[in-house]
Amino acid sequence: MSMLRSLGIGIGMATALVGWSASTVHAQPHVESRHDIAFNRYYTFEQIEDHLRAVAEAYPELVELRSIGKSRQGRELWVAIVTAPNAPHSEKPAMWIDGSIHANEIQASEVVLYTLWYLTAHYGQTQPITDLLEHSAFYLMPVVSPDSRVAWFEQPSTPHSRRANQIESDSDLDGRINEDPPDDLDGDGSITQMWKRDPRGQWIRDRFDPRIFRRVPEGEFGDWTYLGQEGIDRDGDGRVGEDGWDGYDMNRNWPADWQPNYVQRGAGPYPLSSPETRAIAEFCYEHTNIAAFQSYHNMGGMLLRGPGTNYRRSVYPREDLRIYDELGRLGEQMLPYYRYLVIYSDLYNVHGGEATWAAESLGVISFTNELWTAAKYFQRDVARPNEEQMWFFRDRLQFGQVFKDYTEVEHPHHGPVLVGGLNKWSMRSTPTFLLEEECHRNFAFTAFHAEQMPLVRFDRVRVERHDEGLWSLTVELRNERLIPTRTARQRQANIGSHDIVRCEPGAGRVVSAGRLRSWWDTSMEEIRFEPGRVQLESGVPGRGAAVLRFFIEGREGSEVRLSFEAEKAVDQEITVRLVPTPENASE
Amino acid sequence: MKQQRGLPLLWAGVCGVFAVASGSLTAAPSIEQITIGASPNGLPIIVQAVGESAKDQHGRGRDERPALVIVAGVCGSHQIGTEVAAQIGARLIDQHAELLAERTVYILPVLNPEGAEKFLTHRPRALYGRAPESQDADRDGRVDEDPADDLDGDGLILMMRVPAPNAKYALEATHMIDPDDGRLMRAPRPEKGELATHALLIEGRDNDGDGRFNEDGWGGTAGGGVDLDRNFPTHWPDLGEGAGLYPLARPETLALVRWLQERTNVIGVVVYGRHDTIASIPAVGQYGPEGRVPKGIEKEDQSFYEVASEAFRKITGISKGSDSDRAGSFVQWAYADLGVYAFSTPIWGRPDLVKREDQPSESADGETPARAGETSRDADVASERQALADRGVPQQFIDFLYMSEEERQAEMEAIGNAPPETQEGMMAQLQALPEDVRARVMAVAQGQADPGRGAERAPARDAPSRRAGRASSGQSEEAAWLAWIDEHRGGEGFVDWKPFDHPQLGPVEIGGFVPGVRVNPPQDDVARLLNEQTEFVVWILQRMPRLEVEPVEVERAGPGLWRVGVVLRNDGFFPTVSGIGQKVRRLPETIAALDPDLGLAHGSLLSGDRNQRFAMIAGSGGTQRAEWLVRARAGTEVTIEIRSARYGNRVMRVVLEENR
Repeated sequence: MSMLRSLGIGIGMATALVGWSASTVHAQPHVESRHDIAFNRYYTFEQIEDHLRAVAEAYPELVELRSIGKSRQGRELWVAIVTAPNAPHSEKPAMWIDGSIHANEIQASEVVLYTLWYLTAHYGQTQPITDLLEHSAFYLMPVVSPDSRVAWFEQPSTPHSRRANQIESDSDLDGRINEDPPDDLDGDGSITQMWKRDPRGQWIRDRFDPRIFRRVPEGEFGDWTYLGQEGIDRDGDGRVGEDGWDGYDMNRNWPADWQPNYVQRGAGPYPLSSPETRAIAEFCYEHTNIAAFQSYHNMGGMLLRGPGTNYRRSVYPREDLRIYDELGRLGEQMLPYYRYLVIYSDLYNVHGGEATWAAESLGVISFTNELWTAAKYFQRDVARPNEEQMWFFRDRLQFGQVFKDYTEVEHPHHGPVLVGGLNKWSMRSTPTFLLEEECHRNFAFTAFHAEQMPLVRFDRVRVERHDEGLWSLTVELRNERLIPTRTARQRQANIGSHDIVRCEPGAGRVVSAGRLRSWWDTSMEEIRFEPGRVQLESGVPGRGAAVLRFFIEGREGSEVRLSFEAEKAVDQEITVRLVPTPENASE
Repeated sequence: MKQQRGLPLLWAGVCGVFAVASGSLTAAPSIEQITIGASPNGLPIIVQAVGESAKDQHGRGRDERPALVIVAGVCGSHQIGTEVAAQIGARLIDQHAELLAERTVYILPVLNPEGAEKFLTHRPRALYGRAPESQDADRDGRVDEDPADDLDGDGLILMMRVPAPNAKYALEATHMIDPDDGRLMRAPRPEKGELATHALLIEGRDNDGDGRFNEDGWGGTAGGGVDLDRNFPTHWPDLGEGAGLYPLARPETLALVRWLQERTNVIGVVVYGRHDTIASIPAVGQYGPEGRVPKGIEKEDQSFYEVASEAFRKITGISKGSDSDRAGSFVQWAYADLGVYAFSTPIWGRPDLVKREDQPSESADGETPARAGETSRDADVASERQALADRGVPQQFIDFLYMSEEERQAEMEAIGNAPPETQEGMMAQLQALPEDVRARVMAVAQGQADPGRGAERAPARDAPSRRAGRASSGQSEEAAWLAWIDEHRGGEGFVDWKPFDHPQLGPVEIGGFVPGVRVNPPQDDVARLLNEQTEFVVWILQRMPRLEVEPVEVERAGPGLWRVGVVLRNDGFFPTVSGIGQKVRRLPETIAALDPDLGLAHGSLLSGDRNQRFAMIAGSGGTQRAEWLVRARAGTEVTIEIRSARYGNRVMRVVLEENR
């Protein structure tokens, strides 16, 4: 309850105080981890695997590291299952968090790894994290597409390439497969640009900064012609590097409004055709306790929700949108320069996306965060840095690490050309010295989201005696948190089982039951069938209660067992005696 | 032979040992059986590849030649589709081998073996064609707890008509008894002052006490399985009842899609199932909400569908098909996602919609149509057999009862030689027969007279008066079926309403159409229907696209300068790629490539893309021409490669010289 109240008056104040008082005295709060990880750098897939194993080994009581399948190239699909040992993960509401379904969007993996690191390090030391893991579980998948992460790190890439799932495919539909892959002519690991000296060219190099090419005014001549992306036309079809290891976009491969390739490029041959997407979907369908969903991408600084198209608006009922709005607006405060947006109206159309699948097919509250935004380069001073400002940042803060100097290379078709430009670490990746902050703020947002998963308890109970052994038992099931045990989307699409409230007198029987709109209602809406096993189709509302009344034929003093079962909340059970509740008790 | 009538396939499915079918069906040299997947219980999903196994004149193997795919048994209750599909391969080899030299036909007779098994063997019998799968349709945390129930013990799940409204169960009156024929229920016509008096429910009780009838489980209003014909990705009914957890969530549908996606040689698909896209062709220009995926067909394909439809109607006499919702269906996926012509037919439908020129049709193999020589005794036998079939007696037992003594001896011998699991399956089947039928089978098996012969004959009915009464009742679907049942089946196929004291609802009446009677034809019609469908498949095969490549032209344009050209021609009727195929672009276009391996010096190709792409070559002699201007010394040999995923690759080498 204290956590709940603190939400209204400013996040973290009250909860942080609880954390401090619980730990030993330090000059400032410092929490030791049994396995420290630096978050001012990026990790290869193998290094992430090493960290996952190390954390799981260091915290066996909190972490189960499980491979849910293998990637197409045979790499493990790791999921870290994290929860406190007080109850198994499957009995608690759980949050799924993943990253790097587009593995060129690399920092997504570090954010998920940070989440694992923070939760394990702070459990038992920081009270809100302890509470979080006692009440809920996390399924953390740092690398959805290990094959593309390995390719991006090890093979020549651009900031934007290796987005797809790295399969053999005929990208240019010429009947040949991977016959014209990208060529890293200058051997720097990035695919950059090619320029050729040309007295009738349209470009000149800046006198003071030769890294900058400028277009000359119309009718004038420059010294350079832009040849395009670094590479060789290996198949002689007039296009450069158009058919290498590529494949389809795994974030268009999900079975919610999936549409074929001709509606949306990259959809894949059918929904869940990739072993990675299928493994996740099967895990999520099986774990019906998943009640919150988050996937990480870059870039743009966005907290995105569905729908992905205007015609799917109706699958986001108003009651659910209120939850999205509350979480999203709070997220904007936790993540400066991030905006809470809707995919179809603020961005572009997406069919068959992962996070929209979770929202629409699992019926859980689901966000996609687009990590990193250009506004973060200069923060409050410059919202959209121009070219000169970007060079200032790259030179003075990144010390030139994201640029490959132009060097002359002998091209087999074009002769001597200049190759160079912004390398694959530019533009999309969070600069490493800002990475930890990016990780933490996003983690904190998901911690808040996870904290809002249902937490249901039997609250007030009132027993009244009527005539001739007839008793009524009125009971309130209260959900402290924002998210209901069944979302409006679940109700709308008939997803998952109804919550069930059982009333089982040790002696006697339940003769009738009904729902009350409020605790003070005198008349109820009768449930005509199976009064001892009431189904709550709408579950228990967020920050609210379900009130039920049972009429029981039974002996005074006998025991009645009340139980509550829900997919997305911890099951509850209490025993009540048929003894009249004194007036004004508990009310 | 029994095997040629395709029964072994069903028989094997019934016995749960599907694989034994391969032994008998691979007898013909050009049918190969491929297992493309399995149902959850491990029943294999088998494709027969029909075609020449040797390479053809273009060096193409069986899987590289343009192919037609026939798929049946998506719905387990559609037995006629499976029967025809299982026999058509052998028929094509016997009678149309010449069509198979440069074409392949793939046949999948049962996509849903578990559904077929359930329909054939589960008693009581219901019109149930789904793939069995526990659903918890009512989301109450209990699975399959309220299926349909055979209350009156007649072995059939029929309907209950319940006087409504009802005091305890909130049943609404929705129907009334048709005053023209007391067997028919219909909606009242308020404008004529008619009142709804009855609720119409599936036969059963409220097993779980939740106040609802048959809402979760086999044969009921919902649940109890996945309708495979709603589990494909195209316009998938998002989380709809029976549509599956997600598109291709079932291994059967996934196996079929994966197998077809691996094929590059499929030109068209014929589906035997509940949808019709050929007697009446689908609408043109209707799309899903994304605006691109057709609900019917593309304009570019319309004229070809029209020609095919005309041929189909002429062959079958089926005058019109019923429009149905193809969301999530296999046929719509085959069209809109695989991108090929996709013709679906139920094969058999309301007989009054079949309009034939009234001559005894000359069937392809010279068999006399069953109807032509019908004697009254034959009619009695047919009626008896049908009555048994309606009671759910498996066909092979009915055949066994009515075959000649010699045939029966041979059958007994064959059974004696069958693998033990087949025998066990048959024994289980025998045990499951109604007691009187079992006694008959046992008797004739021991060489005694059939004690039940003649007893199954339908009681004579007052058919004419019923017909007269119904004449005024209009053309409703049900009335038409009933008229046919009265006139041609002596009333067998409809169970008259009988009062029943329902344990929960009080007095009700139970009756209605026998499950499956409106889906599968009487056995006597099968030979004719097989002939018709064979004829239509042959019609398609004869008109499939044929890509011909004319000799390469070389012309000297100047010193060391050559103009090279090649013409591609389609001698078939259909275009090389359907309109939808050009939109889908699943496969590369047909490509004519000059010097594909870059043997000439860089810069030798002066004009013309190295890879010239042709989205489509029109049928009936349509052509496309590729041309290049090449700089090379006289006497240089250059390579021209025609790349076509559908029609095979060809490589040609020409020497650049004058006056070739």
